[in-house]
Amino acid sequence: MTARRRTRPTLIAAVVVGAVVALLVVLLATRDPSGDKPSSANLVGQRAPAVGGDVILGQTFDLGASDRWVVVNFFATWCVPCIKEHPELRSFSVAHEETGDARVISVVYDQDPDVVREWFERNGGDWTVFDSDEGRTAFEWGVTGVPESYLVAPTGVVVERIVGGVTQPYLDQLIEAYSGSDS
Amino acid sequence: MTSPAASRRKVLWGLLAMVVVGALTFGTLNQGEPSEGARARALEETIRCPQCRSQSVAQSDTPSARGVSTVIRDQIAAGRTDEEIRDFVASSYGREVLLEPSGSGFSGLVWALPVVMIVVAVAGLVYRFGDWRPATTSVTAADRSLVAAALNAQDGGGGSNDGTNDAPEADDSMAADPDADRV
Repeated sequence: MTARRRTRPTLIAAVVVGAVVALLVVLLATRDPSGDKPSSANLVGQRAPAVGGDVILGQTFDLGASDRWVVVNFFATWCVPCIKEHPELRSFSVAHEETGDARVISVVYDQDPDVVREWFERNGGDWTVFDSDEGRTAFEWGVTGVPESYLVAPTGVVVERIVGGVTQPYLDQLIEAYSGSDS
Repeated sequence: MTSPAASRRKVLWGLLAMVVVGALTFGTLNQGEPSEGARARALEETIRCPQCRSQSVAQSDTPSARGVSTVIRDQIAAGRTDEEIRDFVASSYGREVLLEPSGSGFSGLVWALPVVMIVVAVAGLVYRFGDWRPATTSVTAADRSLVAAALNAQDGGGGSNDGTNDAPEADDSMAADPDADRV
């Protein structure tokens, strides 16, 4: 009789624990792995965040009011791939200044603005350059390293994230490809 | 009816429980409001550096970690709660940068389940062993008469048993043990 009395709660406990474990497995297997909110890794397809910070070179520019394709380039002059991609950005900027359909803006990634100004004087480039705003802009865009660029459509939607250096032909290809779609 | 010893034990357990609950309550509620710097530091320790992955924002000196640090301080100044700030950082870099799981939603199970399991385990132990007592040997009237008969036989018969006594032969250790009466 006593053995029967003790077996029953043990069985009930085992069933309850088993049910809880099964429930957890089902929840873990079926929930969305990306979490509750979209991250900037998924910025593509979303409206481009604002680019804050002071303009340290070129003219003031409002990304939200732009009617052109915009390459938002995060860079630093201590970054070798950034130095390598700079001539490509320069030729892209010059080429599209004539057609008026695209432009480049750069955001400094953790660097003294004076050093950047001096570097642009030596290496050319007359597009708008924003300071890092103490890392706020890179945070908004989810940037984790440089060089990193985003292609923003005239509609204000981010269509491509490019981690690493860019080339003019690659940027032109992207614009051509996305111009045909409904970006 | 419970014995005085059992009642005393219950009172002591009750007092111990009150001291533990009181100490935990006092320790939890009497921490005061942390300064903004302390809050920021504590938050930085719960968020991974987006760039280096193996260090927290508090430990890292990378640009992205400094950016997160700036944003955390901005958010604290704006009156956001710790949970809101952690969510905000996750909205830029994904939930994988959170070193501690969220206290709400599905992740909250990580905090709640161990507590629930402990409560269930303690309840199970109390249920199973609540009525358990150490094994005791009680001295019955039959035992006493047995000892008395043995002693009488010893006194009257010079230590020999002539077989006239119905009582079984007393064990030497029982007769010689002055504590035989003790439980």
